[in-house]
Amino acid sequence: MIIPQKLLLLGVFSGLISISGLCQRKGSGNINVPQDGGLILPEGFSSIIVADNLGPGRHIAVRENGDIYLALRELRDGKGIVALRDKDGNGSADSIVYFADTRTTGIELAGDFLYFSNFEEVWRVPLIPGELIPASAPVLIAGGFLKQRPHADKTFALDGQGNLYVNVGAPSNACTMPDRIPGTPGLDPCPQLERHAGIWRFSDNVQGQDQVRDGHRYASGIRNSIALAWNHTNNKLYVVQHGRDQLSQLYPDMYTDKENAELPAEEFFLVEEGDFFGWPYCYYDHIRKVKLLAPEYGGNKTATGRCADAKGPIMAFPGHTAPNDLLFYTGDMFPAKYKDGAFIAFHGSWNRAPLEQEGYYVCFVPFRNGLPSGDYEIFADGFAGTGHVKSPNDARFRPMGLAQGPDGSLYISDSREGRIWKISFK
Amino acid sequence: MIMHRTELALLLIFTNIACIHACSQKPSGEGKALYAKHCLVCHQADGSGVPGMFPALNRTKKISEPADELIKIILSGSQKPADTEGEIYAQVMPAMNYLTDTEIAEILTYIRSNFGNKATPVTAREVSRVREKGKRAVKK
Repeated sequence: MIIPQKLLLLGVFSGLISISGLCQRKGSGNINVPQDGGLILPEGFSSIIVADNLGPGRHIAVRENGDIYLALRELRDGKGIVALRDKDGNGSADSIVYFADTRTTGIELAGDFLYFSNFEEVWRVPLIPGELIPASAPVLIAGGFLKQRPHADKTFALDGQGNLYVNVGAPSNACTMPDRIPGTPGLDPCPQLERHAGIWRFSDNVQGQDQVRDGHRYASGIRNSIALAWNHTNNKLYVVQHGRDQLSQLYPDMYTDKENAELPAEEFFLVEEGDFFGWPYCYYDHIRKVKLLAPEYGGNKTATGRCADAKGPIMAFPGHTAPNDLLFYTGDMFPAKYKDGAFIAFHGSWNRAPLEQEGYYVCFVPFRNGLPSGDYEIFADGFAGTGHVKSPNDARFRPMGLAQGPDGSLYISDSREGRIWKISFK
Repeated sequence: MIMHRTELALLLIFTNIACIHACSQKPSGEGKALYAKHCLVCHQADGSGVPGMFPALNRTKKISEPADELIKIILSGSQKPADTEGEIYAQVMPAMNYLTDTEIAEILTYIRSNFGNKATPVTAREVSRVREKGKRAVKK
């Protein structure tokens, strides 16, 4: 009997990431009485600490029953996801279990499945009703991406209609070879666009998919969009891009450190099939409100050149603030203006040095008919502490992941110590 | 008084001659400015790096060990994930072989004597030796 190759592949893919060797921790991240989260929030909102010291957090997902899943940048006791349950209903987690033997970043719940990703692949594992952690081995959903060091996080969004959208970040700053060396011209055309710097679409329900064989390049010219989300009000994909780095270090005769601190903008994109957003040839100057030619491609701070053809942002944010998660709010707990609007977690800059850093907050953008209907505002602040942030290590906490609770509350994860906050409206 | 002035002048001349020999081996104080220009944006003004991205220089044993490895990293960069004191850093170190031997020596001397580090200075001669060794290795 001949066993179909696909079945053999399934056998290989399932079980590469094991969830055995679970480790129950009691007390370490556990807070018996919820403490005030200490965040600065608009009138009527309050925050509590759900759990603390979980390990360096990445993205976060909250299940219909309130169970929380936090992806971890580094393994804790050999495990890369932590599951939390609030058994007594007082707001703080009292059952905390680590599982999955890979460090993780993106994490989403869909139907009975938990999807998660790392630097190389997207995986999923079925959840059992009522059980906090899965009992079976995760299976590979999308892989076959080229290995890369920078911007490797394979963050993703699910549209609920059978599709998975994966961020494949650029493996460089601005497609030069070598990378990040002053005066190096950009490769033209940029060969990295073939397998990187875009969004690849896959089925959300087929195991063992490969980027080249099964993936579809849905949109391109996106340097790295760690933050991406599907907007169910208009059935469109939205991402927030990390703009290029080091204008003043690489082109000291053209840009001052002050200009480098502000430029380029972090761009908020409405992504439709076939779109091209300009990386590496272009960057967005949000002060002059124009997409400009990058200096690696002959740019001089004013020339637009081929960038006139690149799709622009629906909103632009100050440079290097590192948008790391995007969430469209569909709950009923918050006041009406928040309905269908976007929350964006800005992890905070490093690239503004030697000047003071910026970001380290969660913003809100009001939306109407799929587009921003007003300016963005800082929704949650105070993560970094009271002092100035000269270097990212000065920040006590850094907001990283966002998730909506079943009651319409907002959960925020931290990447430094692994704190989770729950934001509620009175 | 005149005698004193002559003595002083002679002393200054001798000091300068001595300096031609010794001072080329000593840091000129340019290290801080060179660090600011070439290293600071990633490794930060206080040498604390960026969590998950760029290694810290202020709490890393390797900084105070013999300098050859550090010189090699500046000259050739590093593509492999740096795993320093248990933390993993995602970004690459570019090869900065366009810096002169003296500049690299100044930068390393600055790093090794700041951010809480107390290691010996690095000389341009040491950098030159590592650079030549690397070239020979490539030729072979």
